[in-house]
Amino acid sequence: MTRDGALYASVRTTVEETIIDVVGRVYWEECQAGLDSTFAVDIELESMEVMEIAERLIDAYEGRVDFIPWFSDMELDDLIELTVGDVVDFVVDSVERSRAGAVARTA
Amino acid sequence: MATVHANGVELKVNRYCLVPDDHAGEAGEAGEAGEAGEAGEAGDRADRQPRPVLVFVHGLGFVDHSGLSFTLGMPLATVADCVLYALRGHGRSQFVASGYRLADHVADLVALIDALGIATPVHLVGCSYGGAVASFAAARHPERVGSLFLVDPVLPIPGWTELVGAKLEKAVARMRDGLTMDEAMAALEEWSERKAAAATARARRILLETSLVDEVRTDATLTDADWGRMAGPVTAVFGDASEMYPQAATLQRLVPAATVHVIPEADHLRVFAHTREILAHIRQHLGR
Repeated sequence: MTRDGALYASVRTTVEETIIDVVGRVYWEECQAGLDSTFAVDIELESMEVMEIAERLIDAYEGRVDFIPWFSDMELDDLIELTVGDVVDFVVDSVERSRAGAVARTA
Repeated sequence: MATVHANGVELKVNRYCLVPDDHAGEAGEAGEAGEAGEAGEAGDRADRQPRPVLVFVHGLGFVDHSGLSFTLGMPLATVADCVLYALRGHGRSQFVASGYRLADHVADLVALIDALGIATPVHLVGCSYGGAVASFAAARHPERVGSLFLVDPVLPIPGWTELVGAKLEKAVARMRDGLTMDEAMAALEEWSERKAAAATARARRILLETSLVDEVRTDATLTDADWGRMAGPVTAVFGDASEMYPQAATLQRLVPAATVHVIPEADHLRVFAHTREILAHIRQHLGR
């Protein structure tokens, strides 16, 4: 997936701001986290924090993003290695598919 | 995540039930329940075929249901209607100063199932202390529990209150003496200072600000007859390096038909990292 475009930038901002809402801006800046940062190791998030972030993003995107099928396919190692960029990519993909579905339904 | 009022306590609940791709929209709704009513309807709306209902009960102290959600609940959502919740005093469920006996947790569990509109017997997955809650529920409400799956469980057998009570009292003493970060990280087998600090803060709160320790010390025990009253299959997974492992033989004596799996060289914490094996055993237990 190419990392450009208005949608990608918007989603990246939303994802990062959601993480900041959960962990605090000071801690986020201390982490110097970026797209390649892992939730479990680089940002040291607990599972309850990852769950809260996922739920806030579900609310933010009003049902256009469903993390459950995605997480359900992951092994424990995948969860440990999950990055901010992975989540951004997933949300972008979900929103694009939702838009394509809406266009198809009105065609 | 939904907040469900059950037995006078607000419980944080997640419910997962995935359907085939041609119902992706419904699956999205089923995956994120907003209110208790939506959580109750999610399983029905998502799939017209009856699914076994799995209710997961986590361990005691500094954990909640989120870890089990990712490792067990979500992966099993393709074959079962998975309900996970934080016990009272844990995670984002209501923090209460008292009411930490097995009977209280079981009353919460039964009330939760009722609030979610689940009328069929549920399959309980009890992890660590959650195994004690699940076993107690199966003994006291055999008509509501279709089967038991226990992961390195505390069994509510004679001596359990002394065993768990002693561990809790030791933890309380260490906290009152001034637990260092290095000691906390070693005790939790946690490399992350941040995670160790958060877990320790939660443990400190529930151990020092509630009557949990006293209630565990004086809690009830199941009799041999209680175990005989349980309906449905019983499966357990133990780590052979775990302090819970000696109970495996006791379980086989109490429930001769129980299936016991052993994970070699796994202590109590490491058992839960063997998610692939545990998932396979749960699917086999459900016949799925």
